Amino acid sequence: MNNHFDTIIVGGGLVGSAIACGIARRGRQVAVLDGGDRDFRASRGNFGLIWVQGKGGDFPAYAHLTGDAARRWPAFEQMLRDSTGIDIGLQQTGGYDFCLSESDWLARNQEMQLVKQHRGGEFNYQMFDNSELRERIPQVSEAIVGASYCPEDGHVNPLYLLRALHQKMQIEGCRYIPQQVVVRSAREQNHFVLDTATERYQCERIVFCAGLDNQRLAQDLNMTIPVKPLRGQLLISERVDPFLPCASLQVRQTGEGSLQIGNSHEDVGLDESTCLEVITELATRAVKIFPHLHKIRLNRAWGALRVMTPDAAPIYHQSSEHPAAYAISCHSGVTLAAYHATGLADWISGDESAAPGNEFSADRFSVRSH
Amino acid sequence: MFRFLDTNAQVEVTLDGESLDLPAGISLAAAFIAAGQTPMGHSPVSHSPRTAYCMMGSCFECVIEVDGVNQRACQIEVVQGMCLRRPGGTADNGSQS
Repeated sequence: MNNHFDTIIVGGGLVGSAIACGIARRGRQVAVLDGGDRDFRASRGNFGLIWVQGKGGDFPAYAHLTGDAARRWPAFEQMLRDSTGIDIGLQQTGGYDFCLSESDWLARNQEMQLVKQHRGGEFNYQMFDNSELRERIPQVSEAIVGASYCPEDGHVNPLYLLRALHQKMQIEGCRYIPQQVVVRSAREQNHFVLDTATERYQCERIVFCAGLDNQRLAQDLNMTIPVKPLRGQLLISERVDPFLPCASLQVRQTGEGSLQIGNSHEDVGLDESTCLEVITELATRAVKIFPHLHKIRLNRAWGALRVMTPDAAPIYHQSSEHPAAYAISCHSGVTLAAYHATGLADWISGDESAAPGNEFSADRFSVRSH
Repeated sequence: MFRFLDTNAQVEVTLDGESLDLPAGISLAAAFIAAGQTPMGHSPVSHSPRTAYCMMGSCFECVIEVDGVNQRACQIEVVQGMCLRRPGGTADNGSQS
């Protein structure tokens, strides 16, 4: 087996497979080394939101980037569908983030104003009070204070997205190699060498997209990539009549009619189990927002680990020591997929004019002496 | 294609208000299929007809209202006097109108 490739992507989740598609489309020969089924797989436990509102309030470049990614989505979805025939269920008709208290509402309004300041006229949002909200979604409780709304938000079926990206990867000629956890990587002469338990691979260009494993992997090439797990628990209900006209941060209705209920955040290390306390909290909040849901039945629940950077913004890092080595880490694998497969792939393919900017380098976390 | 075992006693249930005899001692989904009662319901989104698919509790295609509660028909046994209602079409989406 020839194990020498132009570019090797380590990690075949939403981030790695989107980047692989983009790089392969630009004519490079790409291999994707993926881990095992039992590894932590944020891409398989995802909520499926394309989420713009509120992101980057304290990080102007991130606010711009998220908006840019959202605007790339319609063409990206069209390209995926034309090429693979897979309908990933994109609905980009806006999104609500419900405010359960007056203080929530005020804090949200401030946050949205900040993003608006950063992005100027290109960012639109609205703050709805209860009656404005109930005009749009009559099932919302009278006890809910209101919601923020952003028309750029949306959602997809994240499992169909992952499947479409993997199919696209194959169409573009990428070699996908599962069960290949990289145990060591190094720079030798003029290329990179990667060892797994069974194989040795070589490449000219290496991109680490391995989620929570990025910290360990990138360390071998002297890159410091701080990522930590943040658990989210998700509930799936039985199918109900469609009543949600668009996504929300707390509840989304799938194309099949099921409700996905989520938005919990727990710092519990590498533990992706569920617990009754959080399941109860999520279900209670969903019923608080939509009282008619009190009688629907839950089908299942699961936990998944978000890949969090210290400031929650993505890391797009190019090694200064080995400029053909990159580390990519983020918790927004769905939202940013349309950008990862296009603009970011251009940059990693060698187009410096497409660079995301130094703000996104992991150097922003290193301690400065002055 | 499917026939009742001779040993199955029949019990009476109601389906959408009508009386119906089903074989006892088997799953409600199996009894529906054997009795030719398909579809078991309709998708709330596409309104397409649905019936039991996996018969092992995973797919939720055989959900039916049993005594006021939605249940997977493949996971419960037929019981005398069950009040059954097919889902879909008339399901409550909580709207006021």
